Amino acid sequence: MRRTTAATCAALIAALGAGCATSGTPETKQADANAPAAITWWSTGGDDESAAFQKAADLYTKSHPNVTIKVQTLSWDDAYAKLLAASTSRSGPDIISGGMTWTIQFGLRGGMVDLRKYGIEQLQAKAQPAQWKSAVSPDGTVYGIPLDMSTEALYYRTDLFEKAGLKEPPKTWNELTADIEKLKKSGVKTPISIDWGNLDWIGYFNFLYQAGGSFYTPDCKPSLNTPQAEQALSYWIDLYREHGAPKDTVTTSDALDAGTAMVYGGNWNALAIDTSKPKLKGKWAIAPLPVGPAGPTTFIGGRAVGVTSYSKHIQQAADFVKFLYTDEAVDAVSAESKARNVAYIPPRPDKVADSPFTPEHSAVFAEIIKTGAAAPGCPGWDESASDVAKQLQAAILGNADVKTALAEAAKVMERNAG
Amino acid sequence: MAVAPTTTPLVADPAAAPRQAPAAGSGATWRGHLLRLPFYLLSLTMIAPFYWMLITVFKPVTELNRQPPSFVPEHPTLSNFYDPGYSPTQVNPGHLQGIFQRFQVDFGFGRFMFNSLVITVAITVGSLLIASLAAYVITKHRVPGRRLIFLLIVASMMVPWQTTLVPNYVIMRNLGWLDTYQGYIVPALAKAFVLFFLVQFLHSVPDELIQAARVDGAGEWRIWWQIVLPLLRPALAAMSIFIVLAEWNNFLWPLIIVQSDEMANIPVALARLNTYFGGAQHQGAIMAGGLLASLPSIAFFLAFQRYFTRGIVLSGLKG
Amino acid sequence: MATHAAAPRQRWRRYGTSYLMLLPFLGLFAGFLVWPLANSLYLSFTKFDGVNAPEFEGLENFRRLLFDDDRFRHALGNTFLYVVASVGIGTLLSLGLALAFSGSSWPHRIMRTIFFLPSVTSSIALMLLWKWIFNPGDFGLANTVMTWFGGRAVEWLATPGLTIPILVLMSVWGGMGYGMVLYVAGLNTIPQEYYEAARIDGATSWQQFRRVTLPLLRPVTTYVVVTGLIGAFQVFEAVYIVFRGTNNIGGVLDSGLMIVPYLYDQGFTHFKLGYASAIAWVLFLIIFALSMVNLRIGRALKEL
Repeated sequence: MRRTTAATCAALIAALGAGCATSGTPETKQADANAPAAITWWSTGGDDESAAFQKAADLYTKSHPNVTIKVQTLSWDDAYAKLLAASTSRSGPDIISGGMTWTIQFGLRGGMVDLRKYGIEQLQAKAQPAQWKSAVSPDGTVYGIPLDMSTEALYYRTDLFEKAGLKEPPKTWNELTADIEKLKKSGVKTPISIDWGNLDWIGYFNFLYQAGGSFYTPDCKPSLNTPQAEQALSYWIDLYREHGAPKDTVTTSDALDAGTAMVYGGNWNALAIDTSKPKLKGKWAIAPLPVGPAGPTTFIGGRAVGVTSYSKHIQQAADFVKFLYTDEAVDAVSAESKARNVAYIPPRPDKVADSPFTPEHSAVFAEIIKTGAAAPGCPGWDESASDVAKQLQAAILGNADVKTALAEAAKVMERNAG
Repeated sequence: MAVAPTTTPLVADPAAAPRQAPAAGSGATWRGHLLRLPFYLLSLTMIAPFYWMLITVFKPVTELNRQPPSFVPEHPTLSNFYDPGYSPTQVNPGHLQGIFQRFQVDFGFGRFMFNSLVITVAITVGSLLIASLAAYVITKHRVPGRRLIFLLIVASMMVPWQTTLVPNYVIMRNLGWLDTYQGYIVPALAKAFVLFFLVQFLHSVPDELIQAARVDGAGEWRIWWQIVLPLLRPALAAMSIFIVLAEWNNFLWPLIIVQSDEMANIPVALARLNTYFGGAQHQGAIMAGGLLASLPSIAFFLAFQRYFTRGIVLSGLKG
Repeated sequence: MATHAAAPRQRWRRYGTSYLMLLPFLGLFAGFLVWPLANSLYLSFTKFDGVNAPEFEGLENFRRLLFDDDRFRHALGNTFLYVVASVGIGTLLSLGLALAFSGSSWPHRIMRTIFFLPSVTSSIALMLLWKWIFNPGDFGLANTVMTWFGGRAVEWLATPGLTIPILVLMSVWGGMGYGMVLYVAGLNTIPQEYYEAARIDGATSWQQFRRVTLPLLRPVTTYVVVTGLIGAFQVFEAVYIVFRGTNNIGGVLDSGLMIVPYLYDQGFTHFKLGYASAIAWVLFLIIFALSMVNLRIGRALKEL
């Protein structure tokens, strides 16, 4: 399966309450990293992504001739079950990568190694801080570190903007609302659409943080009972109710092709549009999401990678995981991703500019990531995510008012927090 | 495991009906046609989705989200099966992977068709063999406990098989059978409804036939192989149609036990495409996969329609 | 009671082969049905995540399911609504089709084949097809048809009020041909003489239908309805393929959440295997009750 995974990641993340994201630091301790070892890495995603990671593995084995590393693909659909089965039977791969919170979940069950023992903290300075934090267990144990990132941008049709007399994409919520009106007047039927996170907590996430709210306080108390959360939800709801954002999810490329002027879409779409909709070439661009009253925060997802506790080569595997944050490793993965049209954003913000996207797009993503925030890593969030989404839907689809919906959502989060 | 146990085999041939029962407004009168008009219209709604599937398969990527849609593909193409213009390392606008290029396994989609075939054949043959053995003993041997055994098996037909989903998953995991052919096949072999059907059928076979063979000195296994199985042939044919269709389309159990792409059957592979590809541009390849999944079972049905009729005569409806 | 000492041995000689022939079926039956069933009952009283050993907690799962789980109650309500609507409408249409096309002329045969086609088509393929038909874009088939009739594009799969109707539509569309075939077979077992006698008595076609056809089709109707109900309670694929959203299986606002999809969600997405087993047992009890109605099994037992 190829070229797809980002979209699925989006889906799966949500399904499993994880995040699709990443961050880092290199420099290797040469302990017994050269002892002979055959390392297997189960990589959740697509075959093209595995092929890209294999390039980094090949680089590593070149300088460590006794080590072999094989990257195998697990499809998002059943990766979680397969990894869980492996950790139950305590036999399986040495390295795993998957949803942002998976390594934590397996770690809490005893299936992962605490990478702090192998000097992983030195990578933290290289990583995107929020993403790093979401990969770390609430008690501080590092069962996994970010492997890559995904994020969201505003895709817009430049030709439709021009027709409506707009020179640039909206920079703030107010401008967004104003531009929607102008676009409507110029004859655009659907001025705005939300792809990634439509009717879902990920979609709300952006508005919530941009309004200065959050799902949890820093010490993991549910915090949806705030005026900021209300303001964010009201604004988001209006996009659907007042401004006709579709409730049925239309993929970014389909939406733009059908004449939607602006789409909140995942970064992977930047590589997909010109391939599937050649006629749109030159008629679209991307920008950071419009800034809210409190700032520009945007959701960062991605995958986490970690070393299994049942591996026979923990030392070497951990050493290789650290290697993934080196310049040469990131560059190798980026280059192969570019060749295969894989939407890879490295876990190191300083390397995002060299990611497989066009330089303009890479620059936009680099900017977005600076202020990005990742999924809550608080206890009980995984269980709560789908109920929270349901409350948000109740508010959007009209049978609940904003306050009640948020109170209900907070109640669920409180209960699941234990 | 595939078939809801209570769905007792009442297979029938839709195209066969020896006698005409007089329904309201019977015959080819104008009144008859008028009364049937709503149903003729209804048949259009049966055909329309199939037609939509068929034209989707032959539309190029760029035609899939045209507004209004084309109802005859303007540039018919086979690229939804295999697109020579697609390359994994070179972006080529307007060209995406055909269904045979979408999975990185040997033979691509063909691998899933092979898997489905192996699984279906193995389960069909295996379940019929073991059920016919058991049915023979239950009906023609006076062994103690046979009534109790049959009662138990019949009672199990009331159990929705999903009840055993979780424990069977755990069993597969403990046996290391997740993601294997035996994981598909072995748990699906003991089919209560097949046994039930064969027992009913064997009741109508006179015991004398078997007694005669015994007198001639034939062993039980030989009687089973040389007398019982041939006698059961019509019943086995009817059952096999039922099992083949159910296993070919089986989804929930494979969804749970299959992990790698290599071991997916067709339904699981199609469902994975669905997870991965949402946009209109992928629907051509997905529908091409759907067509490849459906054609064999439709062809199988058309080829063996005759036995469908038998199935219905043989099973309980006559009573 | 054994009258001679050699009895067990003789008995083995006499029955050994028989039991050996029963063994493959019984062994598999015990291993993959009876044992799992018992196991599932046990697990339904435990908390089990698939990794750590099951933790016994009595009726807690059932208490939560029945009194403290809005999603399950919602799933139950949806399922009942769906079952009643799809079986009711489906059975009526099946009967109508059978009456309309029971003949042996080629138009009738073609019509029967057309209506039966979904029954032999890959069900996942059909679900993917429906999802494509109900695409929210203007280019979706359903929306194109809407515009022909002057309507506007509809967000079919994201409108909670449309979820159950769409599920019912898919079920009736796919299943009425099967019911039709059963009814046609039933019609063909009704002796022509009955109709002739009725006609001689001056009965109209409607009266013939009421007095002859319908009563004689009773067993078929029972069969069609009961198997239809049981099948409908187990609906999974339609929800999983067409309505599963990014973070939950039941579609927008759980409007399409049903029992088996919820079982799958709890068991194999969240790995609450104990809780999923409890859901499985609730399903079992419902289907068991329905099956008791199915007289065919009772009759078969009498025959033995």
